[in-house]
Amino acid sequence: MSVPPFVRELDPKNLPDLSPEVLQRAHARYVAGVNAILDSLDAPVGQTPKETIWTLNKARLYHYLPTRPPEERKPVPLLLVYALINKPFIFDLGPGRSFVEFMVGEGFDVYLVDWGVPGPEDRNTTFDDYVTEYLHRAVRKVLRHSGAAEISMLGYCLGANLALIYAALYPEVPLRNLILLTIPADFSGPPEGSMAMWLEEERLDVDKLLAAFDNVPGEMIRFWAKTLKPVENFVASYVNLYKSLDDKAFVQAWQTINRWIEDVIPFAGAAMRQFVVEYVRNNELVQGKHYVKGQRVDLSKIRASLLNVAAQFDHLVSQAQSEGIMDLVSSPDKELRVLPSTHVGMMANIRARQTLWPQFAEWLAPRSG
Amino acid sequence: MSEQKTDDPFSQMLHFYDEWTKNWAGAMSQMVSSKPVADSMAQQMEANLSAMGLMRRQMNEMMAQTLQQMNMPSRQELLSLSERITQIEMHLDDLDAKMDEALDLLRVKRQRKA
Repeated sequence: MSVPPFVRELDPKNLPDLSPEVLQRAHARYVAGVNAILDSLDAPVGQTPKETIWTLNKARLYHYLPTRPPEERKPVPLLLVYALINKPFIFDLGPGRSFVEFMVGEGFDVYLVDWGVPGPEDRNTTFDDYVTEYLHRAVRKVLRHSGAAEISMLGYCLGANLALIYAALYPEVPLRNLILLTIPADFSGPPEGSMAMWLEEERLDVDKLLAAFDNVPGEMIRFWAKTLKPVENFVASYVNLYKSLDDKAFVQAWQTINRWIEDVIPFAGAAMRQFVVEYVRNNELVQGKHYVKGQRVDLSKIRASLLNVAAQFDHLVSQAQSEGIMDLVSSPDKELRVLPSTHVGMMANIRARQTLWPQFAEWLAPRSG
Repeated sequence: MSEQKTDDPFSQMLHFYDEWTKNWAGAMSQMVSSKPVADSMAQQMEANLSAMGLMRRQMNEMMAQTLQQMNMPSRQELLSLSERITQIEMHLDDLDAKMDEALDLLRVKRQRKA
């Protein structure tokens, strides 16, 4: 009868050496692991040099200082738009692992809009408000600050929804390029994955949730997100850290990602309601039934060059949810790419700098001249 | 599996974990995305939210009365004040943009004159 390998491991003759020296070393390693976890909450992030050029309520607009001589810079600025949950430093995790640093190094003039942390006074701010009151002004500021005649926008996750709605609502704005990363836009198919199931009307009473909280607490969002992959998030992540404690680069990368995962911000109540009810349950965006301040969000008005990127191993946003917009936009230059990545891996994967980001830069560079 | 002794007392646990995780990661993900688990989580949350919502409403009413008696602004009043400040900020931002445009026009006009 074959014996599973781990049972053989439990054989007393295979017991590890338990001498005091070994135990001392193991204890030191355990302490190092615990310290690595605790230190991760203050891990340095967002270190690419930048200036704040605009503020509105909690929102900030950053301009990253160029590192290339003027003649090597692309004239069309790139505005990065991140989701309303989690912090946007996922774009700037640290030297050598920062998407912002990479794009600045490639000669792009990079801007980032940081939505800030919503307070109870922001509970009535909808998705539409983020587009019309904040993003629209941020774009105006970017154009003014850069002196450019056109702009490119890259939206990631729910930030891609904001960028998509913006592009459809303001066709008069000189938006030249639109990059959408893992956009959850089309919910016409059956609910895919746990998150979609949890958001169904019979399981989530949005009114009750927002009666209990002004904004959806970050801790709740984090728990939902982690529960989607319980073994990976509650166990494997920490075991992998323990196994790789001797690899300084791995520990640093783990710490910054762990900080990003733990540092979740509340989701403004009205924005959450709008996302769940209007975008997910009623699928208004792709059906052309969504109105913002009386104006229909008509995706066919989008004519900017479009790169729509889905992640092959995304457990949050399915490929179908992303690709559903391809036939609806009028852009003559549009492309759907499915990259071998996870949802977060688009920015956080340790090899993204070599394998994923060059693809974005190569697509954008000839369109930014 | 190697029979060589390691100097990490946790090594057996880690080997055990490697085997366990291979089998359980997918199974657990499937379990949380199953209908019964989703229903059970929803029921639990529903009960918690009902209790929290009720408690919050009562607390808010009590606090509003107390603050009124103390001649202090209520939370609601402070929140609406904050919302109005944001509205003012937006108007200032628009004015700022219009000022920039006006200055640009003025500059062009001066250049033409010169």
